[in-house]
This record gives sequence, structure tokens and C-alpha cells, in this order.
Amino acid sequence: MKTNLSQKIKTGIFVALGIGILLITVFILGKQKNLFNSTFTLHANFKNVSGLLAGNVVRFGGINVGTVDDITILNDTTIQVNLKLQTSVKKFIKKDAIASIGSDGLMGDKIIQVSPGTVPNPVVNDGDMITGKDPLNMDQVVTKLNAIATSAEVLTTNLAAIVQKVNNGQGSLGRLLNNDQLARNLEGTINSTKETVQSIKKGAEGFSENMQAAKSNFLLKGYFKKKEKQRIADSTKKANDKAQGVKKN
Amino acid sequence: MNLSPSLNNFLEKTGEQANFFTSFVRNIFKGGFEWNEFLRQCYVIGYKSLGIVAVTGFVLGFVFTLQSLPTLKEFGAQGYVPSMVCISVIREIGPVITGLICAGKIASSIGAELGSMNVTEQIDSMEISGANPVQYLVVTRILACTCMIPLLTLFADAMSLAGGYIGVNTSTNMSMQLYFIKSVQTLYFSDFFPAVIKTIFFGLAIGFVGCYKGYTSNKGTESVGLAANSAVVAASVWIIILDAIAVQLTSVFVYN
Repeated sequence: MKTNLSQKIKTGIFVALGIGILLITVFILGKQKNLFNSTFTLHANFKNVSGLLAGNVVRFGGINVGTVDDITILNDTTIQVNLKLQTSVKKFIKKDAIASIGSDGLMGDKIIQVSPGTVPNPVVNDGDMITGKDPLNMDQVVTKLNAIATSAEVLTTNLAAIVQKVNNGQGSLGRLLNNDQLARNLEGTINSTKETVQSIKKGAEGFSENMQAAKSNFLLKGYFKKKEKQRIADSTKKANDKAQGVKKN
Repeated sequence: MNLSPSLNNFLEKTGEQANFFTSFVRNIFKGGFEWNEFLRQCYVIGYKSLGIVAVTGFVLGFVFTLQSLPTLKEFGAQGYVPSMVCISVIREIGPVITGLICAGKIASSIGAELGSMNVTEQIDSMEISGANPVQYLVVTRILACTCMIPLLTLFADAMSLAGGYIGVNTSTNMSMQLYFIKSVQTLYFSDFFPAVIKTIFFGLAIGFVGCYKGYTSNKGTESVGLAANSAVVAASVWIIILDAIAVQLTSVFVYN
């Protein structure tokens, strides 16, 4: 059986399309992994990378701009992470940029976020070291939360005891809240205060009459007259001063 | 040899298959490769299977998306459906389903074709007339299968992505660009290449089993049907076994 031309062409189209899909997939995956973009490398040191893996995403301003290339242990407390970033973002990253490890969502993969750094610093070069900020250690957070919970427990127990006492009318606060005696006493006190004030008022009226009588008494007349004169002189002087001030203006 | 008859029979079959395989390999490099017949087989195996493979792939992606949407929606994770469908189709479901479909379509047709040629003594007459039946019939078919099954799988993968897109758009509204980006964002070379390499072996298994069953069938009329039937069964089982082996190999060599 011979193949005719149309069969050959159809086979050719089929094969070309298949290989085309293969190449497109390779290209897309390669582009995603920065195989065909020009890249540059940055290093960052961490004490703890909390599960970061080579191949994890590096973000700059929330955009995926590269991948974690390699993670090596430098010494017992230092882990060096090599970041492979697209050259197009190089001009935005300054020398004081900070790389921090976060996670993509609550359950997601670990990611590295690179902050841009501040303006007066120069732009990074290929192979530069930037500061690595250690991630929040979940164990430490849990330990701290545990201590907080323990003291909160003690606090609430004590509070409950206090409230219990107050409810039962024990202690001065409890008596204040639960006993009418105090309120009645207070009422009586206010009434007697009222009477006192009234008698003081009467006393003051008597004193004022006495003063009036004293003014008309001849022994004290001279003193009061002098005082009256002085007052008049003061007020005329003040009026003169004011009049002069008005003229000047 | 004093072994039990069933073991004896098994070993005989194994030896026969190994022998058949070596004669296939020897005939590839013998010279005088039948290009025209190879092209015709590529047309029959590749182009003629495109329709069934495309429909299968499309429905696969569509159904898979629709089936996983309600469950993932419960977790509020329907945004992960495209990448989940894409990864599972490209890594596992696409190659295996395409392989099984092709086992049904291609291995049976090769088995029946060669079986009927065997029954009608065409193979013997070719041998007598000086043509090399292994080179003309077997080498071309096995090689065509080996080359075409990976391509068919790629088409099935592409079609199932299209099916998944339509599946997602039945419930939510997602643009094609977003769907595409979401599908391929979690895909790595380590997902893609093992799957492609796997399909090459699937193709080899399909072609080899089909040719072997047809070529070594008995000389009775019913043996044509038997050859076709056993070719499908054996090829399907081989695909499953090869898939299991491939998973082990990828997890050992690629994912650690």
C-alpha cells in the first residue's frame, strides 16, 4: 500500500502540531522558571529558613520576579539563600534591601519577599549580599501565647473570687453595693447639713446688722469716712488715666 | 526440562517475546528502512486516532473539572481547580487514558491485521518471496506507535485543558488568560518530561504487544479475534505496569 499525498500532508500537519505543542510547553515552563530570561543573583543569610525550598518564588512588591536558586548551610547558625532574579527589577532594588521569608497564604508555599530599600543607597550589583530578616518562629509565638494564657487563667480566677465576695456582700465594696444602711445614713447626713446651713445663714444676717450699726457708731465713723474718700480718689484717678489714654489714641 | 507445564509455558512465551523483540531491534538497523510504510503507519496510527483522542481528552478535562469543583468549593479553593486539573492531567491521567484508548484502538487493529495476514499466509509468502516481513510489517508499526503516542498524548493534554476551561466557566466566569496562567503556574519541567518519556514507552508497549500477538497467532480463523483481544488486554496491562514503574522512577530520580 502506498501513501498518497494527502495522507502525507495530514500526517505532516499532525506531527508538526504535536511537536509545536511540545515546544510551546517547554518554552512556557522555561519562561516561568527564568530559563530564557537574563537573571542576576543576590545572596541573603538567615538563621532559619523555616522550610524554604530551592525553586520557591521570590516576590518584589507582590510580583513574582524570580526563584530561590540554592540553599546552603554556611555554618551552624547561618543559612545562605541564593536568589535568582530577573534583570528587569535590578534597577529597583537598593543595597539596603531586605529579604524576608513569608508564606503564600495560610497553608501555601514559603516565599521570599524582597523590599526595595531606601533611595540614597545605590542599586545592587550581581552577587551582592542583602539583609535577611528571619521569619517569625511559630514555636516561640506558641510558647509566649501559652504564658499569656496561664497568667490570664490566674487573673480570671482571682476576678471570679472577687466578684463572688462582692455578690455575697463581703468587704466594704460588697457592703456598699448590697447594704441600704449606708444610703439611709447618707440621707440623714444630708438633712442635718441642710439645717446647719440654714442656721449659718441666720448667723450671717445678724452679723451684717451688727456691721451696719458699727458704721454709724461715732468711734468708727472717721475710719469709714477716710476709706470712702480714698475709694472716690482712686476711681477719679482711674477715670483721668483712661481719658488720657483715649486722647493719645 | 522437567518444570511444571504452566511454568514451562510461561518461560517459553517470555523467551519468544524476547526473541521477537531482538529481531525487531536488529531489523531497525538492518538497512532498507521502509519509510513509505512507516509514514503510512504514522498516518493510520497518529492522524486517524486524533479524533478519538481529542474527544477523550476534552471530556476528561471537562468532567474532571466539574467533579472537583463542588468539593474544592467547600474549602473556598476553587481557584486551585485549574492547576490541579492541569497537573493531574499532564502527569498522570492524560498519558494513561490516552495509552489505554490507543491500546484499544491501535493494538487491536495491529493484532487483527497481522493475525489475519498470518492466517491467510501472507507473512509466509512474503518471507518466501524474499521480502523481510519483520522489517516491513513489525518495525514500521512499532516505531510509528512509539513516535505517535507521545504526540497524541500532547494533543489530549491540550484538549483537556480546553475542556477544563469550559468546565470552570460553567460555574464561574474566568478569562482564558487567567485560566491558562493558573494552570501552568504550578507546573514544572519535572512534571512534564517524565510524563512525555513515559508515553514513549507506552507507545512501544502498544506497538510491540499488538505486533507480537498478531505475528505469532495460530493458523486458525478464530485466532484473529483472539490475537486482537489478547493484544488489547496485554497492552492495557502493560501500560498500567509501566505507569507504576514510571511513578517509582520519577519519585526516586526527579522528586528528591
